[in-house]
Amino acid sequence: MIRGVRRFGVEAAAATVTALRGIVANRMRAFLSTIGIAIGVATLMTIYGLVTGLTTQFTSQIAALGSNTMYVTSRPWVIRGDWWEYRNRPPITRADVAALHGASYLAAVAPLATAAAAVSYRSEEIGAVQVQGTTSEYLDTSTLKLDRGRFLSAVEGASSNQVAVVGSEVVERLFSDRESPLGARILLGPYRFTVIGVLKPQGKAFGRSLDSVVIIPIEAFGEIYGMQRNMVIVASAEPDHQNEAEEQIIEVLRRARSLAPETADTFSVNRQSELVKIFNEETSALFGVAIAIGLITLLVGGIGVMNIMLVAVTERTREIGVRRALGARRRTILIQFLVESALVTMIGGAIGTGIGVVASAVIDRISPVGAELSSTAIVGAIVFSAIVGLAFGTWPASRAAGLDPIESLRFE
Amino acid sequence: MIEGAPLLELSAVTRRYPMGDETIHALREVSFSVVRGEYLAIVGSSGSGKSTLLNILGLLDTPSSGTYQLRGADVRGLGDDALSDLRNREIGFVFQTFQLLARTSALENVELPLVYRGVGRRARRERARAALALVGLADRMRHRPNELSGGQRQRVAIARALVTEPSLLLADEPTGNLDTATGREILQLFRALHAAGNTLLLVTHEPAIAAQCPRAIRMSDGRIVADGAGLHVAAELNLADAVSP
Repeated sequence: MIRGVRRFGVEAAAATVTALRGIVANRMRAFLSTIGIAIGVATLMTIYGLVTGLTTQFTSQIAALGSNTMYVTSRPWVIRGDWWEYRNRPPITRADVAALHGASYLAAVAPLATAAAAVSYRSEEIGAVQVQGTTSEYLDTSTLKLDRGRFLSAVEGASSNQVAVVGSEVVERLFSDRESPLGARILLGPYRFTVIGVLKPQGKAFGRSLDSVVIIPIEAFGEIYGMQRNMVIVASAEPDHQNEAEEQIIEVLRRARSLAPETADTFSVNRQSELVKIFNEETSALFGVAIAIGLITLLVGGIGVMNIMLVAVTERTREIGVRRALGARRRTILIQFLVESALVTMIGGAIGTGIGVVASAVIDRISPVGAELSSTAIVGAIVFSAIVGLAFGTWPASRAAGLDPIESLRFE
Repeated sequence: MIEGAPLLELSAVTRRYPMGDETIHALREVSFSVVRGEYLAIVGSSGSGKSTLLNILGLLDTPSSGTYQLRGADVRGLGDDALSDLRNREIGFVFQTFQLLARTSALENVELPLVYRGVGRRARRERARAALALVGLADRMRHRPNELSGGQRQRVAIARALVTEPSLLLADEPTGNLDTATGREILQLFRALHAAGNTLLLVTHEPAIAAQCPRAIRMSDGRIVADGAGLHVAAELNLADAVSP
């Protein structure tokens, strides 16, 4: 047993040396035969990098929506099927918000209306800031954090007081470092608003800064911009009661809107988790197609390697005969050719991985979408290449092992 | 092993194989034995069955019937792995065309059979060096086959056959690809190896070579037609050639 293991070790080491020498001697051929593998692995690696990059980016962006937050809208975020069905839905109103205030599962409920507007302070002006009209409870429904000052009070939220909570980017662009924005009066169109609070930086989501924002009381918003059809309700619930909360919202709103039992909802409840689900569905389909392409390339590459290995077996028939005469078992010959085939594909895999790493780095640099490659993916790709080599080397190697030593020695 | 018992013993060995609809009888009831330390030639024209006999003696082939005992053990029924291991331990092959691995130094060529025995690198090196020194190639160890002359290549092959200290050295037309002078040197080396106690069996079609061996077996049509002193068998063969058309 120990003898066998020792012999296997000695044979495998010798086979590796022989294989490497063969590859170096026929480096052009080895390189050409492994190009297919390299391209396949490069494709897979780049796609993998892109998808993981996209996923990381999407997950971090979507976190801004809050995992415990529900958004009640007149139309669903993602319309699958016929958009026409949703066209006649009424907008969300203050009455809907009021109705939800009594819902027991909801920790906080707030209306949210948005408009893009210019905001200015003294000589500084910013073009398109997102103006949000809401109430005091909005802070509890969102992932927003206050940096300085305070948020809208309950009284202000329900009034048309001209007070504003501003995002960090608004502060940066309107105020100098020495000025405190708190108490300053900024202009939204012709209206003056007193800054009462500043938000902590939030970063970006979907290509837009979350910090270029001015939050004002919903009533004040209505007076300036009108109660627009785009108003939504933001509500939060305990993580353990998300589903109950959603059902309760539906039940309360159907009653508030006096919907008959047989009619469909005239509003939609959206959650972050749904977006994640849709994203995963979409990307997994894309990922699947891309992986299939990569695998087909690898298959073609593997067949190329198999072909070269078959040629190598024929070329080295006499060598096989000599080895057998000197005492090599069939298994020894099998191992020798498997090692060689796996080495060739591993080299291809390493080249492909290199290309994939470079491609991912380039994509990461030049496109808004990130690309990431973990070291696990890199090691995995090379191991996988070796497995491809073993798989496609099996037939040539067993042919080599099955050769008759007498015939092989006579082979010209 | 009992002292004086034959190293190998063939009794009524027959080898048949089908070729198309016919059956070729390559060997018919061949019986002989060889004791340790003998140096003998098997001589015959092509098609006489000497190659088939060599393959069977070298454990590359097995008899269709009859028995082949190597060191007192019947090789019949042994599997491929067992035959491979036995070849590695007991047989050293020397081929007409040298059959060295290209791109591989003399030293590594000689090491090869030891790889299949699981001998570690350092011990392999040492034994291969000794074997190469024995055949007079101490200064050519790093050379590759294409950097060596024919005679040197055959010496490397002989070193490779000797390195495992086999019971039997089998040489198949070892001088067939060499010029006369070089061939003579190789035969001298064989005589020296014989003198050192090795058992050598040489297959040739040249009576002149058989004549130099203490014993020769002459094959014809798959049968042994003569078995005796090399000089005697060779003389008989020359006579037979002279009278045959």
